[in-house]
Amino acid sequence: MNFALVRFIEIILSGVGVGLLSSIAGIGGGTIMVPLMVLVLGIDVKVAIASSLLTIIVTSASSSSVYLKEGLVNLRVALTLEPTTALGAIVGASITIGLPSSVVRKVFGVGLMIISVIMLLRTFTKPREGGEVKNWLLGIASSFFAGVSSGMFGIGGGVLKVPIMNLVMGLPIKEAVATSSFMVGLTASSGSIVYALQKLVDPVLVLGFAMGIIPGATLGAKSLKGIKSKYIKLIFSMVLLYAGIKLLL
Amino acid sequence: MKVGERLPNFLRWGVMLGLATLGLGIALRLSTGVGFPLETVGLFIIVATPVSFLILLASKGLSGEDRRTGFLALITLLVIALSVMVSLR
Repeated sequence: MNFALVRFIEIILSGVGVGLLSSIAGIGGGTIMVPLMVLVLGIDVKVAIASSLLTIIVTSASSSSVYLKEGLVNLRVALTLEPTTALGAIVGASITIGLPSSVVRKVFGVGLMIISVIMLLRTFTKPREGGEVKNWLLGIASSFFAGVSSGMFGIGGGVLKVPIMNLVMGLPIKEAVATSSFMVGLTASSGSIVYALQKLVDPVLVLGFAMGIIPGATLGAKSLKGIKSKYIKLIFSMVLLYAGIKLLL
Repeated sequence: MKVGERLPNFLRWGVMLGLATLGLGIALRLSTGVGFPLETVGLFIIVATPVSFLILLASKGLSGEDRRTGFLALITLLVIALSVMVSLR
């Protein structure tokens, strides 16, 4: 069989795995996609980050179109936080482009370890009920860092956006997840413009992962019934911690 | 502001169109061995879809439905455009 075709099938299957895991663990695909591309598929870290951001636009558009129809997205909050988030994503992408790949790999390793700790904390933190939206300035300022992490590491940044909106600003958890999902697409779009202009995006990776993630996530959502997501999240944050250490070494 | 049924569909179909164009470009490159600009066009459509959605949202809001949301969408668009221009320098 053609080598390119085998490689493409390998990418699609990896995408199915990413979709399945991300829907079970309740996190965005980027956190799994970039380490998988770098550590398993052997792709350069900058190309992996750039291609991951493009794939995130596809997955975010699919999910947020459903949330928008259901009226779950708080457009005022999303559009108030998005200017600083988009700015952060562009700053983050520019930082990654300016650094050598070996340094980016190490920085990503540290980032992944921080994300795994946040995931661990979120597993044991009860989400807030939600009420009147407050702490706008703190929300706007901290969104900038969510944007930087998205642009720098090729992740959606939902791991930071959801706690910011729920715990800091007081949005109900469902609304925070939906609003974050909508924002993720815009943030990824801003960051990926910078990468695309540097020709760092691999179209085969984007297509393969997008083709795999969508059915994988649907499968994950269906198999979610009966699975104790708390333990899955716990195991998953440990796997992320291990991937972070492996990237650092 | 209520976005209705059609506007969210724009997001979904926009990225699907981008993926289809990308797929066609890759298939042509793999079968003929020659690169086609279709891959770049596909990537462009995917990146442009959320930004175009924001333009539609801004115009819908500013046309009277919800001026505040429309204004916020416009600000977001301006920040994205300005930041990209600065990062290009």
